[in-house]
Amino acid sequence: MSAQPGSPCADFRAAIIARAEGDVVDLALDAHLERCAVCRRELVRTEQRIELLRKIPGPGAPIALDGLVVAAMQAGERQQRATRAVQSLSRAHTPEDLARRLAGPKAPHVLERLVREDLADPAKALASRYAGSLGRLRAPHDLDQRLRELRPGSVQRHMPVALVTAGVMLALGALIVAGILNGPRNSALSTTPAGPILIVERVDSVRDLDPLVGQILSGVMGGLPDAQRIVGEGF
Amino acid sequence: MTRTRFAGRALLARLSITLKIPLAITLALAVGACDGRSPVGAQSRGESLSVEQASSPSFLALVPDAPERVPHSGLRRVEVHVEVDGQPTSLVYLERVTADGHGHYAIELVQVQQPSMTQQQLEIFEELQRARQGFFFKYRDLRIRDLELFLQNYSVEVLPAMPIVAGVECVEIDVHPRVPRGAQYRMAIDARTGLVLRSVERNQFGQVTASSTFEEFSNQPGPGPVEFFIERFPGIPLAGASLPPGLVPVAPQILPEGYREASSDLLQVGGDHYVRRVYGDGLENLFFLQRREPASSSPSGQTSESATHRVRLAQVGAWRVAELLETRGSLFVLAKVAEAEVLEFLRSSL
Repeated sequence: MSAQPGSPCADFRAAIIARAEGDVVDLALDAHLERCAVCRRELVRTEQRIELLRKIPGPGAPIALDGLVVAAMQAGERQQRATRAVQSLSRAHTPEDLARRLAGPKAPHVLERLVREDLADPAKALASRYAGSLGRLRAPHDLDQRLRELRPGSVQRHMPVALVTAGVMLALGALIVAGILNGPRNSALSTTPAGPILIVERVDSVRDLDPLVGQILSGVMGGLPDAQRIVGEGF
Repeated sequence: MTRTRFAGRALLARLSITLKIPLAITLALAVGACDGRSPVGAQSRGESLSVEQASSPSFLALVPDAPERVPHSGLRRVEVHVEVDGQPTSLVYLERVTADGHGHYAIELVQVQQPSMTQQQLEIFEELQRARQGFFFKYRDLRIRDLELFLQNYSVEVLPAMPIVAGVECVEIDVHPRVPRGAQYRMAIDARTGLVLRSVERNQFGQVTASSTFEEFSNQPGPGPVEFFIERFPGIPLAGASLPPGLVPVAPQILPEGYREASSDLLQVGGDHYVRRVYGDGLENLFFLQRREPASSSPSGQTSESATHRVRLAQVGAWRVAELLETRGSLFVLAKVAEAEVLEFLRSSL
């Protein structure tokens, strides 16, 4: 096996890298190294490279994780404190008519029913809501006429119910949209009624993501994130 | 001689405007047939041509496999300009590219021009770049990867100017995405070989975000010995791979518009197993990775229908990155498509 001048022998490249990464017993490599100066130099070079790479500081924990850890650690204690505080409250006599006096305006029965129906079948509810929010076009006159001929009076009879239902659906839709707009930076993606729901958290820095992402990103961006990190950390 | 050839080509370009598409092929064939060498600075004048799918110039068909098929070497200037962590950041370097025309290649960092690096920083960066040669060659460098898909998703305009890049006369094309995603591309292609000798990518504001230009070019792999790149972690095509316990590959069902799966393979890096799926629209790539977590308690990929998943999302330049980390397996998406498309793509894999 002979190498091109200055190049290590191709058959032993992988073995040289493995040896440079740690003590690997490889008798064939040992025998080869004894008679191949190029590969001996390559081994030294590879060991130096690996040593340099090992000096690179590992990626730090994402900043967001610090907050999550602290919050998680304190969560149990907060809960215990709150429980103790509640238990230490002296029990006071509750006037019998308190519930009646505190009772505010009740939701209309129709709203309760609609909410119950929505919860019973969320997929259907969302589908109805999206359909209800579509722009409405006037039907061609002849189609309207055919419908009247087919089901005399039916269109007019159901019109008020349809209008009320559409109004309620639109109001519910508007409430949901307002909730999303006023909500935190995280948001739920639910573009179709059924299936998994994604809770999206936007992060400002790739360093807050898994190191694998940074590696691929460096690959597609010619190494830019790595260069920035190497220079930025003053290595 | 050269001047005569250019005058002829300019006339041909003017004629082709009149005859439009039918002559596009003729023009391309004429360009492809010439020897492609002329003094630096020489240019023809004329108007641009729009290329439709049915009449794509023949040199475009040479582009997809040109880097592997054509022996060449040269010095290339690579620039990347994007905001990273909210800071405008640039990376400019020279690299030597060598390919023997039989699938072997090497990309060696020669000089970093920006940012300024100490010797030690440079050595570390050089090592990282060395390890990424394969990725650069396959995925970083702009080229047409699937001609049919490319022409479905992009319109091509052949520009009248025929720039000289590193001494090679090229055909220059502007590439416009049919699905507007913000990016515009310009490529100078050696019509004889299909090699892209210069590429420029701009964002929606017209700013250059990436470019690659050969400053020296040769049709030989190089005079000296070359240490060709050896893939240390070659993937196994997923179709024929025996899967490790606990890894159930998932596949997104809703792809971004214009994208199609290009490859899927199984990788083992260290103790981690990955399913890597690469999708493409003929020009750009989309990466989907599924990692089996060592602490996996149930097979990755098995999720309940109505589960809620937390996705972390970041944007770097035109790239959108999403990760979904779960104990039963993590998913990663990197793509230059809209956020909604990334999320829908990811969601359709659950």
